Amino acid sequence: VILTPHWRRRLATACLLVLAAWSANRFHWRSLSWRWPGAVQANGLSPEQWRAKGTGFGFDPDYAVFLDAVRRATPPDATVCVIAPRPGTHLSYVYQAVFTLLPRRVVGPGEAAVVPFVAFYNDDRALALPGSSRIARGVLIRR
Amino acid sequence: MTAIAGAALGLMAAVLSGLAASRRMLAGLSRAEKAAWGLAVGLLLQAALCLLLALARPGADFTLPLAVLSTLLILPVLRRSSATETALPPPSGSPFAVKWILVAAAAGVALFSVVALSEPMWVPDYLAVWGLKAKTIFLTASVPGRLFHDPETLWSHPEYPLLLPLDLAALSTWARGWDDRAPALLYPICQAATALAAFGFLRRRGRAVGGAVAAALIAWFFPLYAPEHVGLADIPLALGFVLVGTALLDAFETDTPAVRTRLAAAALFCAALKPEGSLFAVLAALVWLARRPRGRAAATVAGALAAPVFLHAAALRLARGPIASRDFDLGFLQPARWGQWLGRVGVTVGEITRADIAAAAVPLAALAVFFLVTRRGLADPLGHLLAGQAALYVLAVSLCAFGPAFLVETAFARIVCALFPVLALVLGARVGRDEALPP
Repeated sequence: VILTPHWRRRLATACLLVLAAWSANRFHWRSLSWRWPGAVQANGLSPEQWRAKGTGFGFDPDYAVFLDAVRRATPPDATVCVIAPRPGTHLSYVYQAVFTLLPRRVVGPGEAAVVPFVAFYNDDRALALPGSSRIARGVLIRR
Repeated sequence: MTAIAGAALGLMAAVLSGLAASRRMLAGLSRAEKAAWGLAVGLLLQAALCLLLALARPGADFTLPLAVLSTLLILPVLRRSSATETALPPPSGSPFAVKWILVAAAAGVALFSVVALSEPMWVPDYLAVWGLKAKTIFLTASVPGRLFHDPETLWSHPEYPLLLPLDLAALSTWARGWDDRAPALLYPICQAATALAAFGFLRRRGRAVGGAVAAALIAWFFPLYAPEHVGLADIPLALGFVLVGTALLDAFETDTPAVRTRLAAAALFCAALKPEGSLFAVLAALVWLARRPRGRAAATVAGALAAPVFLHAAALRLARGPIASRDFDLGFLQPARWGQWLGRVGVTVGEITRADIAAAAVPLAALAVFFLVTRRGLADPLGHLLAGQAALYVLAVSLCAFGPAFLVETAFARIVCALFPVLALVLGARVGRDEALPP
């Protein structure tokens, strides 16, 4: 089939429109209804409070409350062991703990015996351990 | 002053300082291109200032020094504001069409701005890699060794370069406090700069409509400009790719000190963002070596592209010592394991076909038809660069230590999407003959 220049131009334009339409269709149009207020209005929340209510803690909103309590209860230069005892724990628990508690250094359960602070998420059994105290959604051990 | 206004001020300072520092290398470019280059060079300068202050006065608040040094860098722009603009070729085609296509592009940027600023950055890779480093640098006012050598955070890609974390830390300094939302303003600004770079380049080459089409395609490419990419390096990297691409196309025309400086600045910007950026700059050097016009020296342009990459890598190695990437198993490259590796390449291609190509079959078919029915454009040499980069991504995925499926699922589509703005430049150059569009 031989296309005239005129039809080549039309076909090229149609191809670009298909490409643009496919790209535009990847935009989450329905999300605009809740994104718009967040983008243009001050909501009175502190950066930490806003982060706690955002998509990042969608996997477990209570975890944000717990990490905030750990943050308040530990000095900025502390090393903290965070134990989130969930079967099949996904990496978001680790990433959120390390990021939220900065500039504290966060370590895993392997170092629980040697660090000055150990925080247990949603595990009251740790209250039986020496130096433990209850914090929001968990227990903190101070040595 | 709100945090967003502070970040906006920081970005404005970055653009102005970038323009001041790169005045000579930007001579002859359109205003749109100058804005894009100003941002890229300004981000390099802001990161350099942040690093300098963190190293010189670790632990000290660097809000005031950063503002003072940025102002000093901006002064040359204020003094010479009457500099003459370069005369561009008169726009061909319908200025009306160009205007409306650009309005559509601006709408794309506005939509992504709403997305980027609607909530604090939260993507796992932001928390685990870019934001983690930026927040550490900001809160400690230093670049602590634990960013590179802490066994508890081996997943944070300690081997990655630090331009983005330093820029996010600098923007938080301008915002007067750590804030996970305000620095996100960088992302729609980078989107706008990428569209402007493509438009400005094609406009300068007399392809105003093609430039506007490229800008609109870029601004509306929501697979890249997506909420799950806010906080990552891919969106700024796409700007770097376009800057390398336009500077390389200029180098095919003429080899001047200004062009070579632009190539070096763009290569450094890419290399300092992500390893894919280094790869792109080195591949651009190879494309130049393979396709340079007859009689043109090989070393100058290739050197301008490759030298910043290797110097940056050497500086990083000296500063933080050796860091092995845990993502790739290079043992597959040994001749004894080539058979295994080939099998993995097959698995990789199969996974990509199943997961990504099938999902993008319609636009890929549209692209194929577009290339069949249009004539060669001035940006076609970038097609080799894109093909080479994509092929190397496939090979890299096949070497993944966690299995090819892992990287196909988590990263391949994202890193390929960052190449789209360069492809849009190629497409725009092909419709650049304004008569190619129907009335």
